Amino acid sequence: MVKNNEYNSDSIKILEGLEAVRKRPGMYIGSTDGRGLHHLVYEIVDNAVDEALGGFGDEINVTIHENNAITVQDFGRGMPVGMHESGKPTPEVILTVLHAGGKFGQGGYATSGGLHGVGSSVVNALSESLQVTIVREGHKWEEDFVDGGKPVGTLRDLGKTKEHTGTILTFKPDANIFSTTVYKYETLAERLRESAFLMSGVKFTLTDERVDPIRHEAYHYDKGLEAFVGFLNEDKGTIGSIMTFEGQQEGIIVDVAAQYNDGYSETLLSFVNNVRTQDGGTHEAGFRSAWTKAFNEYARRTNLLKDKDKNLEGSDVREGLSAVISLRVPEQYLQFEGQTKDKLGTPEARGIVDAIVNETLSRFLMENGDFGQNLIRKALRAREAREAARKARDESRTGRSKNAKERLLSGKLSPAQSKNAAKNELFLVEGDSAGGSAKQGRDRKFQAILPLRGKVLNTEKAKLADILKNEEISTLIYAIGGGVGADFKVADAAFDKIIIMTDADDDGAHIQTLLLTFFYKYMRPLIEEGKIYIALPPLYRVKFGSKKHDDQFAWTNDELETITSQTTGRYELTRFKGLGEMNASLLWETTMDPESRTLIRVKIDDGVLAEKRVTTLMGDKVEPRRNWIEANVSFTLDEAGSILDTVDGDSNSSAVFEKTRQKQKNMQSKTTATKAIPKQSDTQPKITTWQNDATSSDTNESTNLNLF
Amino acid sequence: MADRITELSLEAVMGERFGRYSKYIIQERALPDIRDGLKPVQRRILFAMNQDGNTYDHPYRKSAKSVGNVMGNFHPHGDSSIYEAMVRLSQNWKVREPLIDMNGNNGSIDADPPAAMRYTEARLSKISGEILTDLDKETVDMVLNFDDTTYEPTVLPSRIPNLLINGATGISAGYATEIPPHNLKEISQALIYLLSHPNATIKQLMRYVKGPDFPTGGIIQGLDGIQKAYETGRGKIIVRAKTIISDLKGGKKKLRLLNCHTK
Repeated sequence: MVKNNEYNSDSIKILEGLEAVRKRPGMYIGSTDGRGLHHLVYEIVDNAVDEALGGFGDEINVTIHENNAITVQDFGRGMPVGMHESGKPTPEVILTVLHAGGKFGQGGYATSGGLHGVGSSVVNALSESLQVTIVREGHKWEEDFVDGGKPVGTLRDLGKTKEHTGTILTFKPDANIFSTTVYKYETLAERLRESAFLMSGVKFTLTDERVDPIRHEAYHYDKGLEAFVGFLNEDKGTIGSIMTFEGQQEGIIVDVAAQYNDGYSETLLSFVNNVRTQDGGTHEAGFRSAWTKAFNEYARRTNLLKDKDKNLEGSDVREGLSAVISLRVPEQYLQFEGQTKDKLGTPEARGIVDAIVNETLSRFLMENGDFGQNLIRKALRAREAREAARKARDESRTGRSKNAKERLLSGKLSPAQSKNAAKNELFLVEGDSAGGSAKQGRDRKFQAILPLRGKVLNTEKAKLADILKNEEISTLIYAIGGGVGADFKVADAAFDKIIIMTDADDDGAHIQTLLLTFFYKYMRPLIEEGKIYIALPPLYRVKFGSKKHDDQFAWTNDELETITSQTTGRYELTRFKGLGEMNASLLWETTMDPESRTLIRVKIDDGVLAEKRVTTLMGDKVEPRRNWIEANVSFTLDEAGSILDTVDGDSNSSAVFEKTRQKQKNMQSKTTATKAIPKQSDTQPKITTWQNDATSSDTNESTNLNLF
Repeated sequence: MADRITELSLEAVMGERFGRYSKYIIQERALPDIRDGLKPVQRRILFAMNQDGNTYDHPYRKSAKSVGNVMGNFHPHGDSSIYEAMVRLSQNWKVREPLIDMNGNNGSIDADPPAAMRYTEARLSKISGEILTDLDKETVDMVLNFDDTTYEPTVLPSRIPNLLINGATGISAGYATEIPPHNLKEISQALIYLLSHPNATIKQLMRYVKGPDFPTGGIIQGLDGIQKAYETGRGKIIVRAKTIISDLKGGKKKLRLLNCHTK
């Protein structure tokens, strides 16, 4: 029954100051997982960047300490050290009071990424300790905070110094709040590099003290935006050199750098005051319309587009374009849509970007006649391909063409009975053998099965025309029914979930990457809307000796440990290798039944990273791929575990498996004398790595291997 | 309980999945081990056939039987890929010293397909014995097979430098290899020399090994590419065939190619 559950005036609580941040960290930093953890660094770095943006200091140093504490050092003016009118030293106000900042138009900063004045106080609130050191006016000052922003004493004057002015902030995130407190070097490096691209002339350094020797990198670009575009196109074949456009109107400074590559997708990144505007906004709209307009005008003038021809569409002229737009917007114009700064709302930006890009691009095209005409021809080819794709889609939808009818009849797809696009699911299954059991096991009301034979075409390397000819892919396009490429419409898709279901082995992993590449390149809206899933069949089955218990399944090593630690009886452990090992009912139970299955939803977090990752891994240049493999793949004899384990950085899957199996064996040896494996359970073969740098720690020297 | 959904970013999934695949393809499929010059599937074929006593001093056995053993005990993949690997090891125009002795149609240099595995018979060749000898004397590390029912070697205790003699080709992810075959006698002499002169230079060793020895014959043009390959691991070799041109009636000419190296 409901206990004394009163809801009256006493139950309304006002969270004071930093307490609110600790109670609801999600509201301030998004999440408390790895992403939120790294966000803390960005908050502090962004403050340093704002300082550099104003022209104070040209170096920002970030250090990851051994205990995963972070130090950010800038050489700006240093935080003001005077006594604030509230009666506390100003640094303490900045670091402990929400909405305290110098960026509300008082003249301290001309333009800034910071808006709300919460950044550094939030970091303080979520840290177990924080130390700020300020050099200003020839003096050095210091103050410490512990346990989520409680000041230790007050601001201390450490006396005179000749050091450069600036602020040094060291903080250690609170392990009680974050699910992980280990910083990833690559993630920070990525972000600092991006900041360095946008801040020409400012040097960013990143030092990792956790490894020996200490890892240190510096990012410093004189022509940042150009370098940025070069970086985006690094692994691709480029067309022409990097174009740069710049201009200023009404205090808004516009910088654009762009370059074409031989790919088919468009990468457009925009920044406002060095903050990425993930969802675009008025400045991107202005850029797009100016780009289309300038190309169309030029095409008409050079007669590559005749009077009766239709204008080129935006997606045609932007095929293979990588561009970065960077805006500096003064505070009085700055307007974002929504809470997060993901979309610029400033209406003036549209017109200004449009005018500047249109004018400079038109001039550029006129000055570089040959190159300009090449680009127009490229855009015309893109239009042809687009129209061909649309035609193919329309035909397949109406079933007008004979070809499409045949495809329909070839009947690889086992459709669902209902036509409800809001509920239907499409399973892409590896191979006919698994396709069969999936077909038997499914709920035919809303689940459709499409078996794919063998490896799917690598769509990163192939041309659109070849892709459309490929049987596997064209069946897939037809089955989904939303078209392909730039024409793709999520609303037309016949399914709510598209689930990739492959064997839990290495080839299955490859097929997943191939399919994801296809969806990323040609049906990206599906990923953006979160409709692409990966099915996770269980990794282990625990079969109990006594009939009383049902079989249990484990998806991760943690689950396996939980299951086996709870039981004292005998059990048998099997590791699943392929979907074909399961019969239809088991497959339904563990992998397909919405009530009990485990799925991974694939999303795009960071467009740049996603694009780079796909080109590196699937593109036609070998060198970057090899470098990636060398940096990220460890060659051991371990068996690969679940993706849920490895993504978290937990790679000792085989250790857990061995341990559990050991336990199983020991248990068996207590009760049974004979075993399937003619070995003593305490003498395991010595496992060395493939390169034979033997694991000397292995003490099983006495292993007796007279098996044969 | 409704769907258990975990959200992961595309780049994380791509990275993890591709990392796993590339690790596998590099380590356990496409590239040979430098010590015994064998890819895993080849090693498993030799090991399984040896285990079954299917050696040169015993009669031939149906290929399908060996393939079945390899597939059931060590290599959980398709039968055709195992049989194809087995046939290749027996083709004396592909490998310098065939490791498998196959009876029946095992294909031809013109790329005719071999007979199906239910027709052909095979056994290990005599030289394979040198690769497999002393296997039972704890010479190499053993690991559990894919379903933990038996053990298989991580490498074979080869007494012959199989990688150099039979060469290798393989394309994996990010890495590829292409090693030409060499003459067994030449390599042996070079190795004997190397034993007594551990610091021998490439030039000295090339007194014994003049260059690759293709099983199809052919004339190698130029030594620069060979030397560069031996020094750096990368080089180019041009091979041509000996051609006899004879006159025919009506002013026509007849070309006869001898020692033609075709791949």
